[in-house]
Amino acid sequence: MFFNSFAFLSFFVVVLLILVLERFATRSLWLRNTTLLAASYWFYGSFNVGFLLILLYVTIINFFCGNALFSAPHKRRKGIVTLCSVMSLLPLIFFKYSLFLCKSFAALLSFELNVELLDGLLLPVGISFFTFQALSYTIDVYRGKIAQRASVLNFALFVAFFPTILSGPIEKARNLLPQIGRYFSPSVSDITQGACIFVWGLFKKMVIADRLAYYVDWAYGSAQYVSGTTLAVAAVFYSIQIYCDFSGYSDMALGVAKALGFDVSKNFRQPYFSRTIKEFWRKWHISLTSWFTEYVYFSMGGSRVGSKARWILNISTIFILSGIWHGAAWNFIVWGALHALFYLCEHFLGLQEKTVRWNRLTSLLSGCMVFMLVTLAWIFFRIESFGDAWYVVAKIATDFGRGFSMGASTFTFAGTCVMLLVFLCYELLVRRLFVWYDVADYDSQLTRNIFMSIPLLVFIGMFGMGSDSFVYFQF
Amino acid sequence: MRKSSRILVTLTVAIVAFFIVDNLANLFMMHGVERFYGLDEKSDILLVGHSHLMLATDKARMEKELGMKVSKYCREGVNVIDRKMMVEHFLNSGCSDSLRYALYGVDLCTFTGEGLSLNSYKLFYPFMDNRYVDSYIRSQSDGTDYWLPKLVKTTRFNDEGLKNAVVRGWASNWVNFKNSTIDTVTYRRKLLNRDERHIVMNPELMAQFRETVKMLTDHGVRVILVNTPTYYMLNEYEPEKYREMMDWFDDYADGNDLVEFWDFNPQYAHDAAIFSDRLHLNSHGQQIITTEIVNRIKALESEDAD
Repeated sequence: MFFNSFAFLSFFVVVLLILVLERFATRSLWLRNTTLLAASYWFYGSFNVGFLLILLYVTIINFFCGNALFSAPHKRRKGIVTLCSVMSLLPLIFFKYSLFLCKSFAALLSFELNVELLDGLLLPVGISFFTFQALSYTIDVYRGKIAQRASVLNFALFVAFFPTILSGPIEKARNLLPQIGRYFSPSVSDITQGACIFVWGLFKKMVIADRLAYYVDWAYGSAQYVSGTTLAVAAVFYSIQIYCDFSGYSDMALGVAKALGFDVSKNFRQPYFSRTIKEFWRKWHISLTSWFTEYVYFSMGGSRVGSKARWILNISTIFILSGIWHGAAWNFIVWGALHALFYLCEHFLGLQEKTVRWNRLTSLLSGCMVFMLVTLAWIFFRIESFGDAWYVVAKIATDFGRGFSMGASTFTFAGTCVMLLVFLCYELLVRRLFVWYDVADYDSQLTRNIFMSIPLLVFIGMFGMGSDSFVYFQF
Repeated sequence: MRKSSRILVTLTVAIVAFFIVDNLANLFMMHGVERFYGLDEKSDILLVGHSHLMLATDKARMEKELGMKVSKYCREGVNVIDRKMMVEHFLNSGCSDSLRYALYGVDLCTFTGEGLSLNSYKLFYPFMDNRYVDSYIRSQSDGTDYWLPKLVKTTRFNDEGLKNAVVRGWASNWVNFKNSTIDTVTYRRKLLNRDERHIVMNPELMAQFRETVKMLTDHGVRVILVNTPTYYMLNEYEPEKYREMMDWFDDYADGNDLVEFWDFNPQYAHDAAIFSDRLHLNSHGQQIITTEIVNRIKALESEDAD
């Protein structure tokens, strides 16, 4: 049941109707949360009922460990949080990394390994997201950032909350749990705002990401036969594709949550308008970046460490961990390492200093440079084999300027370019007018946002492509 | 409460605005698509078939040289059942009063059924305001596939081929852009791997075909079954079945006064220069076959005059 399906629409309308009816009948917090929890388990179970067991396991471990921390003596607290982290991460490591680790060790020690059993393992969808989300509760309790115990119902709902369970945003317990613990029901304003955000996400996913995917898949699939220019265009298209795919999903999640009355953190803030890599990472997959920053980087000492070498190690670790989080493959590690390299170079060049003065020209040039570097790194992210990725990079560098191919259909390519133009106009409007997201002043923008959604709906109807997958579902 | 009422009023206005935009866009798109398929004016000749016939005929040249209006109602991937609906649609469209000839594209796989699009009914969404098309789509599709385009008209054009038809209709452009020639080496390899559609004479499809032809002849329309060239390697893939199929069309035409069978394979199937692939002609091939068709229709016209 994907967000861009009619099955989900029907499911969501039923959930919403039940919540609205409950409001008139009881206004009971327990009933609302039970309804949402049942809906979340139904939603997650629709992918594979067996996955529910893993979700329950992670929920139970973190619920008991987190609540045990409230009453545990000081000297045992560290042990509890460590045990909880290890036990929570076990399913993730088993399903996501066991095959990679076995293969890597076998290659390192030069022995043959029968990995048939591990090869057939199905990665539970969203496991990286809900594991990290659940852990945020335990760690926040350990650090004293959460003062109140969560009930089992509220905590289970926090971990399984259906708008965010598949691909985030990875919500912090201290943001979502207080909302779960307070009664409210969806208002007309919430539903309208949620619908507008959802439509924007749907447009990015169905009209931009899925259309670009056709070209990118074709170009990378025939890298040997197409020119460097074509591969360069495919690389740029992939940068836009992955942004629209993931931020489209995040916006849909945000919209669904908003329509239910919940405020979920924003996951993207137009990262391709960044002037530095540091700024890019403050705007890209914000929930994961802040999770790593808060729970790993700061734990390692962050920037308040004695030596420069230690800080470099901390930064590199975070970026490489971020790469590994995406998947058990060397290409993700290379991707993370590249970003670490860019970040460190930028730091030592002084571009991250607050004293740097940006004018329009330097902002534009720097923005283009950041986009190019990020695009280069995406090539290694997209192409699993390092050799193939390197071949593409080399071909772009040596064969640029030669004949350009528009793919299987010139007409489809032209249509995609027109839609890209529409997308760019909307992105600029969103940037200038704070459309969709400015929650504080939403009511004054309501009419404008509703009417801005109308052309998007028309474009979705005419140019949208049906797809039953999101790039980040594999993570 | 006042805030909610205000939002509800705004939403109502927005929904009305959406449907106005939707209908205006539909009008614009329909104009292009009807013009491209020749469904916007009375015609003397109807071309009905899939991409095989579409790429083999030059509508603009036929109109110019014959002095007749031509409706080229050919769609990619349409099967015999789709074509029956297309003919029904055309005959009830108000463009058929002057119809004299219907060129029905046939080939060795006309009655195979498999290999063509299973959801080809989606190609006819733009015409679902026509009751024949509407009932056809309803019979073929599930609830969502039927009701979404029924209610939101712009979703009817969610197909690259249709949008292409809109643009080309508005630009009055019927040119065959295929200029490449068949890669015979690769195709021979494909055949050696037995990787080709089989010739089947599906009785149900044959019945549908007969009904379609009868529909046309009942209107006094002369039906010409046109087998535009297919590359000889394809024809020799299953030679006995191929012969049987061509003989069937021959016999069928012989048994009907208003039906003829024009088979261009004996003359052109070996000429690799006219094919872009084993089934489709390139622009050079299109001109050759258009000349043939024009000459034969002229001959029929002079026969009728005599």
